[in-house]
Amino acid sequence: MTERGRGDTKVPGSAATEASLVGAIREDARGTAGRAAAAELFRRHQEALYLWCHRLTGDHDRALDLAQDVLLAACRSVENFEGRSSFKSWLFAIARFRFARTLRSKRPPGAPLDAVPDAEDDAPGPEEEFLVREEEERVIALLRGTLEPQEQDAIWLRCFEGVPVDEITRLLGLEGRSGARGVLQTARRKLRAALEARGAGEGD
Amino acid sequence: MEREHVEDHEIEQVLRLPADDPRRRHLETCPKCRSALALFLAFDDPGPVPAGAKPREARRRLAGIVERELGTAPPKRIVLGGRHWFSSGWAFATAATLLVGAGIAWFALRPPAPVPGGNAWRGATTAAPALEEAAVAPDGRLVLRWRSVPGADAYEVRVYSGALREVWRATVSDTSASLAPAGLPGGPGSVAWWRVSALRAGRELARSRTGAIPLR
Repeated sequence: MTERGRGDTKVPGSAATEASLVGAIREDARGTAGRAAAAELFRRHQEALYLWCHRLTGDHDRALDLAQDVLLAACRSVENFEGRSSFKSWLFAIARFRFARTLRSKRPPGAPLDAVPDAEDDAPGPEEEFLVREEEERVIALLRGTLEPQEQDAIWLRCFEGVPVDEITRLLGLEGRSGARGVLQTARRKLRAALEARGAGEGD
Repeated sequence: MEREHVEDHEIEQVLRLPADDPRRRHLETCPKCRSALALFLAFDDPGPVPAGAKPREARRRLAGIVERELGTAPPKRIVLGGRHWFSSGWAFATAATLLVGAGIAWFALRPPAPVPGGNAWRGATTAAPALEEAAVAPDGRLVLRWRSVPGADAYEVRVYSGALREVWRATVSDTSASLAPAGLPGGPGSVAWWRVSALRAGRELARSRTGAIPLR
């Protein structure tokens, strides 16, 4: 492990560009300059990270827990950051992974999605439960063949990403209409019809 | 064949590709990748502060985490009467005192041991009914069995066809059910689905995963 705190290293400040900060991390992630550079990059993105977590969890404490979890994981693996993507993209990938893990820990595999706290009338029907059990590529083919792009996105975000319905409304720009709730209802109806048609075909 | 999905860390780069690039087209047409893109754009531009969010507190707390983890903040010292109370010796003594105190407090305030067969502690989560068996008996009836849930006085069982149409629902007090629902096409490879909710006084305590019933 590299020795910490070299006296002759120039520590990058808040005015440094992302490229120079990334350069300092890549040069010596464990050295004083590398750690200071990483801290500065985390400082620049931590508020966006927290707000993103808040949008997905809908709660300050849960958002803070998730953001802390993400930052701890990122701090501990910062020496693996190779600079092939932007720091923001790297942090986003960690955040998405940790969020998915949080959801999985709350919901045993194959369990209904309504284990995830949500408004009562947002509880998914068996269509979503069916989707999460199917193989990913088959689900994608089914969605593409059955639903409009906006409906595909709404179902995917709800089913596989665990995004709250209100946040799907915002993410997909559905404000002002019935929001994601209406899109999800339409999507479920279409999926049910498609699955029934398929079931009838199997039964023949 | 399905093109490879765009990884989270690649989204930003793929967005910079020309609109007719196959990777970019995939990002914009695949529901999985498009959802990842929507989440990335929300990360990139979180928009207005949502109701209930406390970004100032979050900034302070998160900065503290990073500083501690990366060792970029000097250790804080509280100087009272010329003595560094957070010097290493005092920090050790304080930590030891707190640990002993916490141990005593835990021992004094620990909750009583659960009584076998008694009620679960308040606040503890109820385990979901574990599905044990789903089979077709020789007479064609479906036989479903699950494990009991402490505190439950009844179970609601639902059966869905392969097309996810609910074909049977009943509330039973036992941990098994035998039924012959109409509307379940048989045939090699066809399946039905089932799930069980544990109830107490008509309220759902916990719900099982959705299990498959292989039909013949």
